[in-house]
Amino acid sequence: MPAISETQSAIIDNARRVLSAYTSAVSDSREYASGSTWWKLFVSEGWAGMLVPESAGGFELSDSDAVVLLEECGCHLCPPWLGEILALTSALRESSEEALHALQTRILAGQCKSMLVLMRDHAIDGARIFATSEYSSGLSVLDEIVMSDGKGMVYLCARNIAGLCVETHRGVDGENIERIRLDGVRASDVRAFTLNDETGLEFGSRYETVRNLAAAAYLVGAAEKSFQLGLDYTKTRTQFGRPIASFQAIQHRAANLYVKIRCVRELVHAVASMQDGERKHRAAEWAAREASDVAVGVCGESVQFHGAIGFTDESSCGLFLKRVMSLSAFVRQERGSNSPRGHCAARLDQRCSGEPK
Amino acid sequence: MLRPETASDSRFRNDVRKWLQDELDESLRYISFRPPPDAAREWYRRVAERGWIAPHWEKQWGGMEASPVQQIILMEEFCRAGAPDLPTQGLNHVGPILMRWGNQRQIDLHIPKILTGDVIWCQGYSEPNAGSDLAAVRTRAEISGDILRINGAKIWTTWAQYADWMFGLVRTGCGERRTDGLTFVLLSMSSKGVTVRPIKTISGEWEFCEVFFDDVEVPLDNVIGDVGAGWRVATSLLDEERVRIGSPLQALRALEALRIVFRDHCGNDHLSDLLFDAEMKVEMVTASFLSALESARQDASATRSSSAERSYLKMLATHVTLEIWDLVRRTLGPLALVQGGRADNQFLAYVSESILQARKFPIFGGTNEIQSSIISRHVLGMG
Repeated sequence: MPAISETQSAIIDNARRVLSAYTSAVSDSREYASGSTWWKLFVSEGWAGMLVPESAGGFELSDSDAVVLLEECGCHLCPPWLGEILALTSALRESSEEALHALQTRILAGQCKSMLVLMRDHAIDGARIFATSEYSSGLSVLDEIVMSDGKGMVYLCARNIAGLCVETHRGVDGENIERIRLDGVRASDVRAFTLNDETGLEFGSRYETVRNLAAAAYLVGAAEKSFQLGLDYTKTRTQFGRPIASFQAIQHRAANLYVKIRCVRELVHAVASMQDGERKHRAAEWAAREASDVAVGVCGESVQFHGAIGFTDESSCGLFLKRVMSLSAFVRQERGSNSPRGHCAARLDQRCSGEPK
Repeated sequence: MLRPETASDSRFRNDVRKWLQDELDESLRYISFRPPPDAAREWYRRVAERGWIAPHWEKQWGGMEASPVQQIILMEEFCRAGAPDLPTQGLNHVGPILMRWGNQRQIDLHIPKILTGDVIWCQGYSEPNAGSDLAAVRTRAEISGDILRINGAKIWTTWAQYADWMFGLVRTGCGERRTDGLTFVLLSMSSKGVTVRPIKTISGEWEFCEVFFDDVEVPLDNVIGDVGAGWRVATSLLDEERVRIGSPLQALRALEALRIVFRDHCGNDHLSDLLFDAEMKVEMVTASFLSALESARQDASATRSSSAERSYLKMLATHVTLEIWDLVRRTLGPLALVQGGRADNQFLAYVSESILQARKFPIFGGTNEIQSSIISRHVLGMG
C-alpha cells in the first residue's frame, strides 16, 4: 500500500470524523446535505485551499495529501465536486491576473463560491457572448463562475447576470447534472482575461491535473468502500449452510477486485507524487479513466455479491454504484473523433437542453 | 440478421410491425420496460385480442403455438416499437405449471384470465434466508381440515403490490431430503392476513416486495399436485424457465436503445462498427435461444444434464444485455444518468432506469453464480 505520512494520517482521521455524520444521513435516510452546507464545510475545514500556498492563505499541502482526502470523500459519498474547487484554487496560483488572485482569496475566506467550467461552442457576436459549458455538478449554488475555453481565454461571470443560466437535471446519485449557458450575455457584464501562452497553459494544465487526480482518488475511495461492503456481506450471508464467502466462485472474484483496486490506488498515488508538467497532466487523465473503469466494475460486482438486497435502495452499495457511474461520466466527457461520446455531444446539446431550470 | 427468413416469416414480421404502429399508443413507448399494470392493462388486452399474448402456448390452451422464429420476430418487433413487457409470471410460470399439474377446476378458473392479462400473478419462492438456496423455504403451512393455515414471509416478490394471486412454495412437513415436505399452493393476495411491503430498488422504482403471512387461510383445493410434493411441481418446468429467462428480450431492448442513441443523438456514420458489434452479440443470444427452443422441443424428457446445459443461456443473455447498456451509458455521458420521471424527455428517463435495472439480470431467476455451479457440476461433472 502507498506509504501514508503523519500529515496524511491526520487528514484521514479528521475527514472521517467530519464526514461520518453526513454519511450517516445519506446511508440511513437518503438525506443529502445542501450544496451551501458542503461549501461551508469545505472552507471551514481548510479543504478548499489545501493546495494553495500559505502566503496566499492556504495550507500548501501536496497533491498526495489531496489524494488521501479525496479517497475519504469517496468512501463517505461526499459531493465529488470538492475536487473541482481544489482544482480551481490550485490553478489560480498560476494566473498572473490580479482579479483571479482576488477570487482565490475570496473563495478561501468563504466570501464566494466559485468553480471553473470548460466552454464549448464559444462565440462572440458583437458585444454579446454565447457559450455552453461541459456538464458538471455543484454549479447552481455558485456566486461566480470561471469559464475557460482551455486555450487561455477566461471569463469571470457573476451568477446573476442577464443571459446566464444553469441547466439542471437531477442525477440518479443525488447530485445534479448541470451546465452553464451564456445566451447573449453582454460582454460588459463579464470580466474577460486572455492569459498569455505560458500562463494559460500552466493554468489549464494545473486545473485539469488536479481535477483528474481528485476524481481518480474519489473513485478509488468509493470503490474501496463499496468492495468492503460487499466483502463483509459475503462473510455474514449464509446459503447452503455456509457463508457465501467460502465459495471459491466468490473468493476468486473478490481477490481479482482487490488486486484491481490496489493497482489503481498505487497508480493514483504515484501520479500525485510526480513533478508538475505535461507527463503528469497526461498521467492524471489516464489515471482518472482507469479509476472510472475500475470503480464502476467494482461497485457493480459489490451489488452482485449482495444479491437481490444489493439491488434495493435499502442497501448502500447501490449508492456507490450510482455515484461512480455519474462521476465517471463527467471524467469521460471526451470529445475526440474516435469516441462515441464525442460524436454524440453536439446533437445532445440541441436535444437535451430542454427548458433551463 | 444471421438466420434466413422465409417469405411467410417476413409477412408475419410486417403484420406485427404494422399492427404495432397502429395499436401501440405513443404514451406507452419507451416509458419503462415494466410499467405498473394499471398503465398497461389495456395494452395486455389488445395484445391478447390479437392472439399474441402467449406465443409459446399450445393452441389447445388458447396460445398461438408460434414457431421459435415467430417468437423471436414478436420479441424483436415489440422491442423495436418500445412496447412494455407482458405479465410474464402468469404467462411463463404459473400458466405452464397449471397446464401440467392443475386439475380442471384450477385450469378453468385461472388460465383464461392469464390469457387476457386481466389477472396479475406474483411468485412466492424466495425468502429472507432462502434465495439461491430455495430448498431452505421456511414459510409454514399447517393443514387444518380442508384449509392450509400459512405463516411466514416471502421476499423479492415482483409486483406483489399489484398482484391478484400468488403461486409459491410453503413447508407442510419435513422429510429425508430438504426438498421433501414442500407444497405448491395458489393464494389470493386479498386473503386476510396477507401484508405487502414494497421495496424500493436502486433505480427508484417499487418493483418488488416483502410479503408477510399471518394465519392466512387457503383452501386445500388451491394446492397444485400433491401436498408435500411441491418441489417436483415447482422444478418440473425448470428447463422451460431456464430457456425463457435466457431469451434475447432484454438484450434486444438494450440494442434498440443503442440504435436510437446512435441514430437520433449521434448520427450513425462513424459508429457503425460499434453498432454492428452489438447487433452480432444479440444475434449470438438469439441463435442460442432458438437452438435451445428446438432442442427442448425435441427432447421433451430432458435429462438433468441437458437441462442444466441451458443455464448458459441466461449467463450469455445477461452479459450481452449489460454490455450494451454500458455502451449506451458511455455514449450518452452524464445525461444517461438523469433521474427518471422527467416529462420533457421520456427516453432519457427510460435509459437511466434501464441502465440501473440491468443490474438485476445477473441476480434474479437464479444468480449467474448459481448457473455457473449448475454447469460445472451437472454438465462438466466437476463434483
